[in-house]
Amino acid sequence: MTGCPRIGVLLCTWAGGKDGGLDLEALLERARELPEVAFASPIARICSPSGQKGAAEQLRLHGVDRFVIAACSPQTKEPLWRELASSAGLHPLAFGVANIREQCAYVHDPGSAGPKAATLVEMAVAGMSRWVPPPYEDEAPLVRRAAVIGDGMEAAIAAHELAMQGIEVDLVMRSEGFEWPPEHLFESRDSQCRTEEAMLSLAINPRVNMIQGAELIGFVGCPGSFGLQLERMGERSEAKCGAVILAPHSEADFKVWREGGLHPLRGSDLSEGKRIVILPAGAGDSVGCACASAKAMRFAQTIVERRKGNPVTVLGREMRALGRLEALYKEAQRQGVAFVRIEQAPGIEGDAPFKIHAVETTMGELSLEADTVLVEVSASPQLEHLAKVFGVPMDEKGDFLTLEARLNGPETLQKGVFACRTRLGNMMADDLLLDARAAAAMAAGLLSKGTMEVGGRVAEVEAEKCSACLTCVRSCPYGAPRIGDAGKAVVALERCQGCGVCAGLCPSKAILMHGSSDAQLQAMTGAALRGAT
Amino acid sequence: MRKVLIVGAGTAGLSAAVSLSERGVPSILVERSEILGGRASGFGCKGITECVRCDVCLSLDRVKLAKREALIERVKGASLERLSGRPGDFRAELSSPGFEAGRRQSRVGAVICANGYEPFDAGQEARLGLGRVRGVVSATDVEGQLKRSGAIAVPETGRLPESAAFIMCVGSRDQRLGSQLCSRACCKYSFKMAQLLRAQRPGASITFHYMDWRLNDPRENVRRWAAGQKGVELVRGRPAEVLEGEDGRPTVRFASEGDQRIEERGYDLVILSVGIAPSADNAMLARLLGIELGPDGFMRSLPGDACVSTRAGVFLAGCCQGPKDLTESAKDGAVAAEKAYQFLEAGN
Repeated sequence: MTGCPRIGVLLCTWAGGKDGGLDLEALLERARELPEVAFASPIARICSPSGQKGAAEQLRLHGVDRFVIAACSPQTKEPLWRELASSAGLHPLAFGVANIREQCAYVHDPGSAGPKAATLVEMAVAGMSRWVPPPYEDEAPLVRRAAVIGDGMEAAIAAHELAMQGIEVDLVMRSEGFEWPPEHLFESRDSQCRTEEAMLSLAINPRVNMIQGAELIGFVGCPGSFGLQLERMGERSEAKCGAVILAPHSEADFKVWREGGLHPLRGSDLSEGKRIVILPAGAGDSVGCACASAKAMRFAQTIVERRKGNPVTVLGREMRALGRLEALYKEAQRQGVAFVRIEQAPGIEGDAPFKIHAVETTMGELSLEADTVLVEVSASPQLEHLAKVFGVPMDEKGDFLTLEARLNGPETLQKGVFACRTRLGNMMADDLLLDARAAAAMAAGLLSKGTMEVGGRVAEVEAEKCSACLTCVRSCPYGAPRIGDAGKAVVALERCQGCGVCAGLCPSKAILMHGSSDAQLQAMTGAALRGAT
Repeated sequence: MRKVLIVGAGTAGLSAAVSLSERGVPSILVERSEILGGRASGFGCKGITECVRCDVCLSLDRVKLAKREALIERVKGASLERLSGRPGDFRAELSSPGFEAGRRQSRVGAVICANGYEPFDAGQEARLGLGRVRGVVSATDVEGQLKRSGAIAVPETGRLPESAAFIMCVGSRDQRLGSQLCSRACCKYSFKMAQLLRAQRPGASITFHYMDWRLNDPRENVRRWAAGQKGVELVRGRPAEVLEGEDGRPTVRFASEGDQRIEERGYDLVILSVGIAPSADNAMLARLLGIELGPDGFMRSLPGDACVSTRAGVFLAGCCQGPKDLTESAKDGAVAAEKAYQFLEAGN
């Protein structure tokens, strides 16, 4: 696209009666005075089908090559503007948005909203006047196959749900068989049975390919076409997929306190007549003052039901039985499990029998005798490894960091990689499985489209300015830039997330950040300052 | 593919509708009221300078998304009157003053029940003074205030409170009131309201009368926050009652630390953190849909398979199956949509 840009301005006239005194006619007049603007038209309700049609006609009629929409927030409307651009025969991203509603008319009085709206339109026009068509493809191919990684019920159920949707799944397992979920994760026996049945059915599900005993060693490719590098019995292979679900299981939830440290639980620890105390974990191999989870309540309950006669006491700062689990807490109390709220980490003295010193919330200091001390722990040994291989950041609690539900629920910052929350959050089976199913639903949604969008707000290297200094290659959090065959940096479209780190650091100023290039930002700032004076 | 009928256009119902239309499955979204968005449409953002993940905007987004989907037929001011036929080929009779003859019939393949919940009516708990003592409000009222003005103020004076108390678990974990379950969402919203209140009125003193902290997000920790804030106090236990003090302010009577003394303390504002109760329609709707109700008054889902009801072709999403927060309701919607899609795909 050469020569002077020809910009059209489309002003949506519908404001749901909240516009106050915004003078739309004056706004259109101001826009028409700008040299780059070929036309400025009012459009009634631009997001409606008739508005879209009218807008496309206007764009065609005036032969513009880009446009500005002065309307409300692009947050949920942007896909519509893309369709509009395409239907008018333009680049699907050949538009800028001036939000004159939520960020202006809805919150300011008419006196100040008018000038601000004019400035916002002027800024958007200035930004678009320096716009360069970004690389973009809306139908990049997608491998219609998913991979689920994990050994436990989370992974199995996610794979099961995907297969039920008609999607072929590779279930990548580190162990040779399932890590069966422990009884205390389930509210009821029925719930456990149904889950186990679904897990067992995977072996005969033609859409599920179980890859057992496989170590994950690498992750290559881009959203839509990932390759998982696996090693199995000394042999390497690659599994291709369009989406990945990370669903590592967690290890044993309870350990035994012995000789001043934590050890694996043995059957004899729970033998008849033993007095059992369950404590919350602290840092490392110690006990702490955290909440008693529903898992601990259920575990105590299973001991009482199974063995009969074992006095069981659960200590914790809070009794966490969220939602319907309150019924479980009540039932455990009825069956004789004692719950004690403590205010600080308890001390343990002696060795079987132990003496436990605790501070109870209302009664103050108290001591208990126990033959077996169980400590609730949570660890997901595979989690960190997976986070590293997939480049998925972890949150401050050591769990996968996923996008806010509002943005895309269980998807991680790596597009196409979804993560289930783990048992680190003290969740029971119902919550864990809801997450696994939601991740499967999102992944299936992505895959069922068959194609995906790439490009748009991405970085592009201007080869003639690049000195191949590797700054971008080293600084990119997503591994998007590499040195290409011509000895210059090239950004892989599918990997670029548009964060702009490379453009900011490039010493040669060789990187164009589409949508927020220096030229665009300077032009917009210029317009803003002109508007302010 | 056959259409899916979705009963209720709250966070769960909208999420289900949006997920279905992403798969190319048409849906009829029936909403009893005249607005989309459900309970959350009456909630306000609790963000301070940054987002605190109250997730209210999630529901508003879903409304916008649902409105632009051509595959979602939105029927407001209408209700489901009868469901006949068989799973995979239901006849749904809808009624609305807007219809010709007041009724219409639609053929649908599956039904997603997402009729939501009712906030516990704190007026039932007379000892807490709602409607009787000035300065006592329910959290639902606070949400409405936040929605209208963005501030948490004393309704009578319109001023920001210098001191406020949150009474937690009102209508939750209470056998006496027939509401035994924990409501899951109250710790979350109360903590966020308190943080917002402190940001709007720095130095305001805040007391929580609580039982157990049950925040769902492991990244959030009320104790740590309270320890770093002067004037924030956590008092364990249910208070006995709320009275009008001599100075006209609401006064909370409670057992102090160690149950040794009875204390009375006046606040500018007392907020009752009300819980999630089953919708009054549940029994009627369950009968109409041919599904079972649990003993707690919520719709019964199959064990180990939340979102699947006791009848083939009928799925559940959101708070109709038990207390949930907004993100969980949204996830539920996506999962129920997936289940309905699977059901229709299987040739039903």
